[in-house]
Amino acid sequence: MEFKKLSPIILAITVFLTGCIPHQSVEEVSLVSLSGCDYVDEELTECTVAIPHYGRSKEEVPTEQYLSYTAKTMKEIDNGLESKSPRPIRMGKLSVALYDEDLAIKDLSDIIDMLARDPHIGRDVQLGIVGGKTKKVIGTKYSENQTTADYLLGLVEQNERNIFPKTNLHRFLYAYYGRGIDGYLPYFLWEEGEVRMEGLALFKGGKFVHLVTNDEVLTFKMMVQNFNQGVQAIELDGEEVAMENIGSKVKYKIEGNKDNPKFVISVKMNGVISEISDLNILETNKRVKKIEAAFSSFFEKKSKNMVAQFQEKNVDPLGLGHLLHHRKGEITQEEWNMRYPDVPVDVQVTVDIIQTGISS
Amino acid sequence: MNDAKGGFNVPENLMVTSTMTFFLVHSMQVGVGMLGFEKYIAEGAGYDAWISILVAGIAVHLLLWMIYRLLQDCGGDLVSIHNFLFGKYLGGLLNLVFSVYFLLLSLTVLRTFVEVIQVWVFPQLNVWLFALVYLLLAYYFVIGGLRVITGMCLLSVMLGLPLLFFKFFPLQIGDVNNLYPMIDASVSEILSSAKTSTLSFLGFELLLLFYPFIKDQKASKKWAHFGVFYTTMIYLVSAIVAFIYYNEDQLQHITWATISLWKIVDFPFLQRFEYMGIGLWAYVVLPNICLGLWAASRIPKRMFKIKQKYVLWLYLVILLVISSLIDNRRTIDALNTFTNQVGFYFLLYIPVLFILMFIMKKVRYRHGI
Repeated sequence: MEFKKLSPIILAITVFLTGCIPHQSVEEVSLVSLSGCDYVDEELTECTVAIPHYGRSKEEVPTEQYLSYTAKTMKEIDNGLESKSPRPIRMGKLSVALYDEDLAIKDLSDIIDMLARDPHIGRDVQLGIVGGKTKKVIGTKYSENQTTADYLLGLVEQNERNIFPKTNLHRFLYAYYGRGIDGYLPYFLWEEGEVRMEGLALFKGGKFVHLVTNDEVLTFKMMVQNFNQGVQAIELDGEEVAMENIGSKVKYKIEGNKDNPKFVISVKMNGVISEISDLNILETNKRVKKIEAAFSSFFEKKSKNMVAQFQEKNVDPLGLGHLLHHRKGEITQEEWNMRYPDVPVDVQVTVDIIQTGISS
Repeated sequence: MNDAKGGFNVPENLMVTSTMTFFLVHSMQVGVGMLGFEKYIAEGAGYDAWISILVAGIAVHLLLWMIYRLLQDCGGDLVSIHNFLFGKYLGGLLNLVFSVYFLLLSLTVLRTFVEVIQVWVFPQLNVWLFALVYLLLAYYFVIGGLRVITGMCLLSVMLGLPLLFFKFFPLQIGDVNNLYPMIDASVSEILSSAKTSTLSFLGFELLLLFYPFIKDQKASKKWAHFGVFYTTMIYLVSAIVAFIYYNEDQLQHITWATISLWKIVDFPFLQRFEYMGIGLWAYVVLPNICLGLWAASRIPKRMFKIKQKYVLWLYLVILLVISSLIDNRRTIDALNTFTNQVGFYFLLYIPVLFILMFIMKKVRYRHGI
């Protein structure tokens, strides 16, 4: 009985309620898939966005429209971009956000804060730093059957399955807000219509301070996560020997107490020999042992060298301070900044060659 | 001594089975608190706050046991207990205080949920219009009686269940090191966090009112405890997942940790899971508001023998007006803190009742009444 009286009211309200909030359907908004910001001068920043326009058929590759605007604050840029667009701009489907090197050296804090605050931006957005102008990276058509955003996302995902460590907005924010840990983002280089990943940009807070080059990236990944990809070549007795990583595990140990810690990073890597000039040499077990030792010392030397560089620039992408804080007790960021450059860090790498391929 | 002071009988066709106690207790406990409690409990004991959840859970079990003893001894509901212990006037006053408290619970849940929608989905949302529609829906359930509300509780628990699976996504990229060093916080810090988590556990005291509606009251005891246990476990898992996913300094920057966790959930066909999570949460929140309103309006009905419908209309208007008047984050935060504290003292009141009842019984026996 009650329901009979109420139902028309409820029904009426549900119908009218749909008009309460201004809303737009997907066809009526511009969904940004790719954005980039460039340093112009001390005050001005130029931002570029790519907006795909979808055609009628499924097979058709969407055409992309590029909009740029130069202004002082992000809010002004937002308004400026709107003024150039026939439809309202929405950031909900942003998948890649790029920043140029100069801006990153200056400071990205404001932009990071904005990304963290906005509920419409996903936490799996891929961030990246570009050597050169992001406008060029965004404006180039790389593939006939993919949009630039998809292409760049594919590029990063492919490389992160391989030798690059995983990065996204969440991981960066984790390091950005956390104490005793600094973030890193992939570094892109644009050259003559081609874009490639050129290393990892390490951040101290919101500032880009150090670049891990491409030949160091594998060693870096080995120290931050377990993975099973990547090839490393070294020279041994005048021969080129290449080993494929088929499984590497990393462990952190802290010896000593909170005030006098010693970090020991131990890596166990299983490998397969994939390239060697003279296969016959491989016949004996002794030879394998020698290669293993050579790779071990190669990785150890390289990683110790890298850690020394990090300490010199006081940037802690490995999160040693974070680890110390959680394992040995409370430590503040200031305290860690003071002590990090002199803290002893040892890296031990054990390489185990399991296979030498199908020929011997 | 089941002499039912001021007792009454609930017709059997309005009763619910004892199993349903599980859903009633659990769904009233889990509400908007769960969307963001991680940040608040970590303020006291840091990442040892998961122990606080266990402590709070055990305390709630104890209180639940007391409530059952109280109800069994008196054989009625909260109104009968108050009348029995304090007489008509003082008891009546306390009853009204409880009625307002249950209304406050509904208000907190309603306004906080509307805020979540405002911040995450529709910034331009018209608060009073949305509240009106939501409250009309609640009215429809409450007027249907406890059985209808119980049905809603059951549905809400079922609908909320799949959301638990999505805790798996953040676990994959989390860092267990965040939880170490374990048990580093002092006892007082752990207790202060346990106190902060009160808001998330509030709701089981509604048993004081719906107890007479349970068919097999002895058997329901087990189910009520199961309900509380289940709630504690859900909070424990949620807190640990959030602590593993965020580091301590980062968590302080995040207002709704649970919703932010959904952001990392990604399907090929659904990129932004949090919208779906918030949508489903509307069903989790609804029984909260319904049960709160039902309990709040039931007390005057029992006291003054007036129709529950009229009280309900009055309360709905109050809720609507107040929730439209609150219009910023600060006030909502203050409302939550206030409810948290008030709720804590209401829970402290239960042992007091328990002891009074104990003394009263002794006295009466001695006088041979």
